[in-house]
Amino acid sequence: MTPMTIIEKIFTRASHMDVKPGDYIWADLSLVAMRDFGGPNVIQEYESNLGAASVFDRRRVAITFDLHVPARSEKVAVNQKMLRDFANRQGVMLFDVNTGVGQHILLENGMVRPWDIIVGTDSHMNLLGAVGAAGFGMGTTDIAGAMFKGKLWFRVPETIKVTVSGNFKTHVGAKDLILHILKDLTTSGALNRAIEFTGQTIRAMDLAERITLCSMVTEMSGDVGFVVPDQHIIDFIKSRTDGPVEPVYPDKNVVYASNHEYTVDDLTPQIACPHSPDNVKEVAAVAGTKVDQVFIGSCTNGRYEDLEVVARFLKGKRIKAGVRLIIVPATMEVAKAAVESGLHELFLASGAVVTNPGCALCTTGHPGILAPGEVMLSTSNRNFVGKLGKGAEVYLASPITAAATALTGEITDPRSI
Amino acid sequence: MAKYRIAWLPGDGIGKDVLDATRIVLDKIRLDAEYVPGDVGWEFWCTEGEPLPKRTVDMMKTTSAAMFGAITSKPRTIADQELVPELRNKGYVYRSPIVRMRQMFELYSCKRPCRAYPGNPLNYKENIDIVIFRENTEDLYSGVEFYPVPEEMFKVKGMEKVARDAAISCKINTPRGCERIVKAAFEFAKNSNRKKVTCVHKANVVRATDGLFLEIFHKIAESYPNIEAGDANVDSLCQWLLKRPLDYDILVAPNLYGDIISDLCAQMTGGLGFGSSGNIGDDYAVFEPTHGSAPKYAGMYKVNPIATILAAKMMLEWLGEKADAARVENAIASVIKEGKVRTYDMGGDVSSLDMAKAIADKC
Repeated sequence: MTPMTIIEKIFTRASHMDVKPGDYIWADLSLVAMRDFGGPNVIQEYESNLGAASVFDRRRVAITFDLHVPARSEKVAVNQKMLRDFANRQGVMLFDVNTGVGQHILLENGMVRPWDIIVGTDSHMNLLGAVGAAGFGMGTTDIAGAMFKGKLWFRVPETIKVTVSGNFKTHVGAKDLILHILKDLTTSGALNRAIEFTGQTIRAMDLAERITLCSMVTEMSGDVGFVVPDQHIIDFIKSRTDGPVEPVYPDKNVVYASNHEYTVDDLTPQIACPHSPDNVKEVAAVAGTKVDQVFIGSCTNGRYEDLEVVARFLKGKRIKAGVRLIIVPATMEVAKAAVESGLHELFLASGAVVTNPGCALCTTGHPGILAPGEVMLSTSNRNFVGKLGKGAEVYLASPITAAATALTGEITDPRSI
Repeated sequence: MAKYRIAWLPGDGIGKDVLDATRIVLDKIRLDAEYVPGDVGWEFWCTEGEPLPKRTVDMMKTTSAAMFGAITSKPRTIADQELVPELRNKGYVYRSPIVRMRQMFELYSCKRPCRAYPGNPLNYKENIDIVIFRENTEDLYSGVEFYPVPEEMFKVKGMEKVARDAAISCKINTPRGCERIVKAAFEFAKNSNRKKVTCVHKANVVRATDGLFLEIFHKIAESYPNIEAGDANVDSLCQWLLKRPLDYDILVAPNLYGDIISDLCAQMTGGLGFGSSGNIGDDYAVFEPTHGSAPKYAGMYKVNPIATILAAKMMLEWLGEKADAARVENAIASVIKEGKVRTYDMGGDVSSLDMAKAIADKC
């Protein structure tokens, strides 16, 4: 048999036929998700075409509320009500405004395993590749169809292999690495492709770091990104579900569409400058740029481990007067852990605003957006023009660079503090 | 996520023993399922005044099906005494969790297969293979009961001959209730190539309710010309079941008669250690052994888990995992036939878990 990549194996199993890159196939889905943003359109599409027809399996459809939580306007409230009513009618799962970022909620609730194919209305569904699942963000029509049939068509993507070796220097980590890779591969570098991350550096990464890597595959236009799972990731999944958990590995001798090797021994803190995630420079190159606001959170960097790094940096210090630091845990589980371990208190003492879990400052939908001409450093994943307020400028960097920047009020290489 | 979410409800007494054993078999066949534990049982009656707490019902609604162990029920006076002091005399009334599940999830069909597996020393006769479809939500189990009987009821015509100190339990049967259980029996017969369905009733005496059941039975039977349809009074059927059990194939009955003949048929095919039950609705199902919670054996892993493993096999069929169901049943049949591994009821001394392991080894 021809050796296969992870995505080829997953699609082979889910389509019940041997696949190769370029094939168009129908694949069985493990789970269909939608969120408060995009979800209402899905429901309108679904009901205008299918009426009251039952979804394919009410136990495998999930609605997550993570963008405008709690509802910030009457229009949003009406949309959220539409989703709650639909969940009641159909008996599907609903995670309401007190839960957090959808993909993270699915992970925490044991609803994501290797081999799973999960589609949703969030463009960063592919961060589920951090545990070896194939997550795809899709549009309204696809999600409505998926919810009815439990199947969808896909084009089997070619796979890019990214191998990383070496040890990070102090204050350098996964976010710096993925920004560095983005600079190299560019925002179109993985178009219609999957990525497999592997190598010694990757193997040592915890779940939060793997999520950071995989979530940014979207910014390279990639379909999906995988980290080859290691035992501690399997252990995490097993701690969340008692269903069978079977890792998925690529075959040896697979021929990849391309191979890219990186070493991190000399990697410095990286930053994506306005207005593109691949406009990446060394932090030192833009150090001194004044900022008005710093955001720490999002599906890319909102895990407990991310907050812990920030707390260690902020301990006993106060942020620069005039700078707003907004910290948003990805989920309620993360938020609770932050309260219990004292992180929350430490953040408040440093002068930060800590809000309820969610996607937060990823889009203009959330409180905290910027005035024209204002500058923000964010740990999120994209910095397109206008996404966080007209005329604003957004830089993307790691949580620790964000913390350092909040302390000084200007973009700061954390190694200089 | 896992293909199935299964509510895992051990309940009281040996419920945990037999579900632990069953899990060994389900894990062996690697069913793609997640098992979600739920609180149900006497303990929750005593501490919360509710043996089937709302949180468990809510959890069940998120699952595909449930595996249920066993439940302890005690008479009303004892139930009241065992409530924690702060809940006493507050109007809490013990209601059977399994009966409530049947009504809440509309699990109208109770399917009880009774098969004499070759080599079982407890078989009454070899080759018995009967499947009972018992109506599960109405009849005498509707829960409409009066004691004392309210005064206004005596104004209804026909009630004048009833003594004022009578107790009344209503036997309620609806056309919809009769139709769906009879259809379930015939559909099963058709899909599994069975030859005959027998309606169990007492229509010559209980004319309104059983008369309705029998009338609907014969009407529906007309749509299944290739399946023989017969009927029998419940009393004479018991006699004939003992005398000529091989004459019977599928039995369909209102709730109470179904309950009684289920135990009779279970005893002919191995007794409590072999009787399994599926409480099946259109969208949900709860599978359980028919035995009780046997408190004196709780935690000893002594009782025969085959009844529960057969219930799991029925669940696999209901989920559509027919190949896995066949694997499990063949493994059970093979262990029974070899006769080397037997629990105490079969004359052996292996534990519940070892019996399960022996079955898992053959899956």
